[in-house]
Order: sequence, then C-alpha cells, then structure tokens
Amino acid sequence: MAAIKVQSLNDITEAYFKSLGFNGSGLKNVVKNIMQEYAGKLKDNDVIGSLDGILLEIIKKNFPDNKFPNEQKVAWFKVAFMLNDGAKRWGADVFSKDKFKSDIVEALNKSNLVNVPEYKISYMEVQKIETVAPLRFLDRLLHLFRKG
Amino acid sequence: MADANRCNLINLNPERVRNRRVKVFGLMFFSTLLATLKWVSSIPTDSSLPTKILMTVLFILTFAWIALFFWSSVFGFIELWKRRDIPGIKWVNEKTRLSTRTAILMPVYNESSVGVFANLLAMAESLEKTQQAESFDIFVLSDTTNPKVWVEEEKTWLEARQKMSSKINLYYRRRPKNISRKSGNIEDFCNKWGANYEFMIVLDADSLLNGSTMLKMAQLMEANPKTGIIQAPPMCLNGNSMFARIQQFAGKVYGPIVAAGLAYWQVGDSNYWGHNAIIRVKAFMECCGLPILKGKAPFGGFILSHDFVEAALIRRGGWAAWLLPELKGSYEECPPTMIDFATRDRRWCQGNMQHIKILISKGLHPVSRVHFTIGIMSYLSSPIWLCFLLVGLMIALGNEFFPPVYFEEVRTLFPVWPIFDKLGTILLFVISMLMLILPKFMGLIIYMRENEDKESIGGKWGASKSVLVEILISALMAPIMMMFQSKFVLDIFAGNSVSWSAQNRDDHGTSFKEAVDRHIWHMSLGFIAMIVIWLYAHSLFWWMLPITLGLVFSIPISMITSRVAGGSFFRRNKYFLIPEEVKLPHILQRSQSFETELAQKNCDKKGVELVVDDVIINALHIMMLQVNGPSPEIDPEVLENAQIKLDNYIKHQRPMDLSRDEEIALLYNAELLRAANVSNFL
Repeated sequence: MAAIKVQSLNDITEAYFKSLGFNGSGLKNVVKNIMQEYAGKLKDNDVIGSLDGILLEIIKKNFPDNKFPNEQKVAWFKVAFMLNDGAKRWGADVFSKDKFKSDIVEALNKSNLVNVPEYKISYMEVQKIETVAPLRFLDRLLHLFRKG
Repeated sequence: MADANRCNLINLNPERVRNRRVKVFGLMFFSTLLATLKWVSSIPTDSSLPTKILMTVLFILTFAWIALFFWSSVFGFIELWKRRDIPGIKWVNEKTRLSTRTAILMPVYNESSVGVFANLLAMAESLEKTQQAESFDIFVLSDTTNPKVWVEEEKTWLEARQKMSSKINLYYRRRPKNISRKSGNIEDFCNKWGANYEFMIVLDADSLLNGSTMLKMAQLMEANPKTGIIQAPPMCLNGNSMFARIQQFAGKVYGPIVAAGLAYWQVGDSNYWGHNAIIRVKAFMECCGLPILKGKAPFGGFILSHDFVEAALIRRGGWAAWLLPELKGSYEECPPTMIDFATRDRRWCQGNMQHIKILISKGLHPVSRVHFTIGIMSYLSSPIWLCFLLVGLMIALGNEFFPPVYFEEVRTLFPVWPIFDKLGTILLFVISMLMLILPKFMGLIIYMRENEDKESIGGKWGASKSVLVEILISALMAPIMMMFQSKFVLDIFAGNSVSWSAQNRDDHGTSFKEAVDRHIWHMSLGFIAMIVIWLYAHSLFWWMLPITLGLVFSIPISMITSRVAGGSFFRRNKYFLIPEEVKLPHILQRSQSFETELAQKNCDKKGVELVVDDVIINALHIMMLQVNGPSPEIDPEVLENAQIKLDNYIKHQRPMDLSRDEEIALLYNAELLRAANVSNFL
C-alpha cells in the first residue's frame, strides 16, 4: 500500500500497536520495548509483516497448544487480546520477552475463539440413482423437455 | 426390505403396517372408483370419445388426490382423538443421559445474520436448561455469497459466541463455492466433521427448536439404533402479515391431523422435510452422497429438493425414517406474502419435478416412491385441475357454437337428446368440496379439545369463524396458486431452471407494482374467462365464479394479504388467533430479545469497510479466512481496481463503491486488509 510505504518505521510500529488498543504512555512503552528487543527483526520494507512475525514468535512460545496455522494464530491472538482489553489490562508486558505472565495465557485461551474444530475427514460415497430399465422411456421423455 | 428385517427395524408387526396402508389407499381407490363411475355416467353423452377419456383421466387424477388427502386426514383425526402414540418406536424417559454427541447444523445463504444467531442463542439457552447441553455443538454452515452478509455473519458469530454458554461450542464456517447448495453444504460438514458426531439436527435459517425437543430427538435416536431420521413437524410461528397469520392458523389447526395421518400410514418409512429433523450421521454418510443427475437442469444436474431423496436413500439403505407428530416445540416461519410463497414454491416445484427421474430409479422402498409421487402431484395437480376446468369450459362452449344434432342422417322416430346428468355432477362437486373442507373441521375439533384456555383464542366461536374465513380466503387464493403452479410446471417442462436466491422472511408488504408484475396475467385471464363464460356458457357462470373471482381480484388479494395491518386487524377481532400467538413460547421470546440485543450492535459500516475500520473484525476476518478459504480465483484486474478504491478510501476518505467481485477479492487478501487497518491509525 502506497499510503504505508511513505511512513517511517516508528510511525508504522506506533500505528500497529494503536490498532491493538494502545495509547498514551502504554503505546510509547510498547514501541520502545519492540524497538529495543526486536530491532534486528523489523524490516523497513515490510514493517507490518515483521511485527506480525514478532507476535507469532511470542504466541508460539506462550501458546504451544494452539494448533492454528501461523497467520490464523496471529489473528486469533489479536482478537483475543482486544476482547480482553489487553492493552489496558497487561500493557507492554505482553510484547516483552520475559514478562509474559501465565494469567495472560489463561485469559486469552478462555476467549474460546475456535471457529471450527479440527477436521476429521471421512468422505461420503456418491450413491447410484439408476432408472429402472422398463421405465427408461420416461427418462428419455424427460430429456426431450430439457434445453441444449 | 424383507418383512423379517422390517420387524427389527421398527419393532412393529409388518401385518399391522400393511393393514394401515391398505386401509388408507384402499379407501382412496374405492372412493375414486365410485366417483369415477358416477362421473363417467354424468359426462354429456354427445361428447366425443377422446373428450370423454380426457375428462375421465383428469377427473381420476384430481379426485384421487383429494381422496388421499381426505382419508389420510380421517385416520389422523382418529389417531389424535384416541390420543395414540405412533407404534413401532421405542420411547424414552426424559431424564436418560445421552452418551452420544449431536451437531446442530444451521445452513445459511445470505440470510439476516442477526435473526439466525438470535435463534441459535435461544436454542442454546433452552438446551442448557436440559442439563445435557455439553452433548451438543452448533455449526453455522454458511454458503453466503454476498460479501457484506459474509462479514456480518462473522461479526455476529463473535457476538453470539460471547453471549453463549461455554458448555456449547458455536462454530462458523463459510464455503467459498456453494457446490450442490444446501445438500452440498451438509455433505461438506459430514466430510470434515461428521465422524465426530453420532447425530446431526438439521435446521433452516428460520428454525427454532426447544432444547427439550432436541434432547428428546437425540434420546430417541439412541434408543432406536436402526432409525436413520426423525422428523419433528415444524409449526409456523411469528407471522404478522395477514397471509402469514392465516398460514400459521391453518398449520396449527389442520397441521396436526395432516401430520398424524401421514405418520399413520408411513410409520417407519416416513419422509424428511429438510429441516427440524435429526439424522444419524453414519446412515447419512453411508447412504446420502447425492449424485449429479444426468442431463442438464431442470431435470438433470444437482438435486434441488434433496430432503425427499435423502430420506428415500436412507430408507433404501435399511434405516427407518419417522415423522413424529408427538414431538412439540419445533417451529419455523411462514413466508409473509403470497408472492414470497410462490417464489419458494417455484424452487420446490422444480425440485419435485426433478423427482420424476428419481421416482423411477432402482431399489427404492415403495413408500419412498409414494412420497415422490405425492410431492410431484402437489404441483402437477394444479395444471391437471386447470386442464380439467378448460376442457369442461370447451365442452360448454362447443355446445354453444355447435348445437347438438337432434335428428341424425339416419331416419328415426325420436330425436337424439344429449343426456347430461346435472344432479350427478352437482353431487360429485358437493362430495369433492366436503372432502376438502371436512378435514378442516376435524382439525378444529381436535384443536378445541387440546386447547384448555379457549377464551384466549376467541372461544369456540372465535376458532370456528376463523376456520370459515380461512376457507373463504383460501378458496379465493386457490385459483391464483393454481395459475402460479401451472406456469411453474410449464416453465420447468420448457427447460427453464430456477436460480438460487435467499428466501425473504421479513414483513415488507407487496407493492402495487410488484403485485401488477406478478398477477396481471392472472387478472387478465380471470376477466377474459368471466366475460366468455357470461356470454357463451352462462349456465356455468355461478359455478365458475369462485375461480374467476379469485383471479380477477388477484392483485388486491395479494396486496391486502401481504399487509401487517391486515394481520393486526384480524388479530384485534380475534381471528386466526393461536395460543402461541397469545402467549409466545419462551424460546421465541428469548429469540426476539436476543435479536434486539444483537441488532443494537449493528453498525452502518458493512463488508470491506467494516473489516478495514474495525480492528477486531479485521483480525477476526483474517483468523477465519483460513477456514473459509481457499480463495477462489481472483482476476488480477479486479484486485487492482479494488486496491485503488481501497487506497482512495484510506487516503482521501472517498466512498469505496466496490463491486461484489472487488469486495470478494479484497476480503480474500489478508495482507491488504491488515495493512489497510493499520494505516487507519497513521
């Protein structure tokens, strides 16, 4: 998006965390944390992608049982975090390497945001519907009525 | 299926089952035979042989149809009068703990998501009261194609999820391609999650089922291991327009004897009506993988009215299917207007006509073939009735233009008088009318007996006058429906297929323009017929008046009956009152209250706009995209245009004005949506 590319790394990082509900000093703290702890991981040309990558790392470490695919994991975390008003409740701690507390894990898991259970694939077999031989003429008759 | 196997299947002596069928169909054949003999002797003697044959065939078909309905209702009345339960099924104690898991499936297609989730919340709450809610999971299976409704469904799912008890899982998934429509939607569920469940309760978007009813259905399935389907007859409820109120009154008063009559002779070989039924997943997966029929639509292609076919296939696979009128607390909504009713009928008509092909397929149980025949005849009877009327009219006109020859070329002493048994014809007419009307009064008798609080529904007189007015209004509407259905049948035989559109369930009132569009040809034909009969077949004028009058006034009838004001007027005057209207069932009250709560959270923004501007919906949509994928093929040009519009929206706050395809293209692009959402905060 052109609108995003012209912005600085700091601006975009701020916007990213604003979107997660941070503001004021909380926002400054979380941006500071990220810049300090994950500086090497932030890419100028894909700031949002790299911030999502950082988030994914945090989720993988703290939610080992979460079986969602990576992209879904990040999205799940964001929804659960915002529903719990995480920015106010836990502040910048969530995005700090060693301050992620177990109550955060518990609260987010309680959000119960599983939109479908795991697949248990078992296919249905297509049934045969065959016209009884003496009545095939009726079948042919019906064909006369269809187009094409 | 061999009789020995049948005994195991339904715990009932096959002799008793056979007796029931012999009684109903024997009486149908016997009364049709007697009426036909009388008819043959009543046809004017000067009619040509082909005319006589044609008139007789049309008479047999029309009369047999009425006779089956009549005798089935008579036995239904007797069963209800004697308060007998359906034999052959093992009934269970309400407190029996479930050891199985049941999925409640709500397939949706561009429906009001607030209404759908409100119903589910009410059902979940009702289930929780049974103390066995943990045995149930709810799945909303979306086939929605409208991107705005898609996002709305996701948003409402989240809100409903938060309101619902944690004991019940509420799942949501959307198919990117709605292959095979509703049957494909259910099949997709079975393929992915069916193995996790013993039973599934299939709903429609307007279905409401009491928790205790769902529990009873699951308990019955557990207690009757050879049962594949149990259908709980749904009762129409929540109608406000005059049309819907009349339908729901008719359903309440006459429905029970119709259902009891069907259950009487169908026993364990019943049908499935597509919703408000519980199905054994194993039986369904073994037997109900629907093929694509050879040839093109309307007769070939995907099976439209899959429910009848699934019931027949389950029955073919050796499982029993039950219609249990004993199961109460099963509700649905009526179409609010005659035009909505006809629109739904067009779809059902095609589905039933398609069954002509299946009716003659190998291995079906004879009763399944009867179900198909009944379904087909419920639509074919209209053009048959129309032909019958037209042939009668032609004979009368023929007599006017070509007077009878009293003295033939061969010299005779006496003239040849054409004999027309007028009294015989009147007798047959009266008998036919009685056979149509008597079941309504039988229904009324049961209705009055079953309702203890008669005063709330207007007392005996209130219900009786409602039945009389219902008979009058349905007599006026019958020729309009006959014309609608005759056109549908002709359309289908001409090879015209129907598209899949969402059913309208809201009270909107038919506008004059809409009424003229749909009924102008009914009105014109009514006028022409009235004038022609007046001028050339005057003796038929009064006999034909109920038909011509309905057609001539089709536009005002359609408009007036569609109005909520009409429904309220009758309600104020205690017409068509049913106990469930006076005191709403608790589950409906809860559904309405949830609907209000969910509607309050509705915002002006829809579709992509909502996903871009609302942080939670943005993340939620991306979270669900994994399940709702894979993305369909997106035209790069469409995506490019959509990106430009999105860019303009974010940078310059210009309205997005996206086409459906552009909106879909953006909704499948998680990266763009994420970036657009963040850029809102820059």
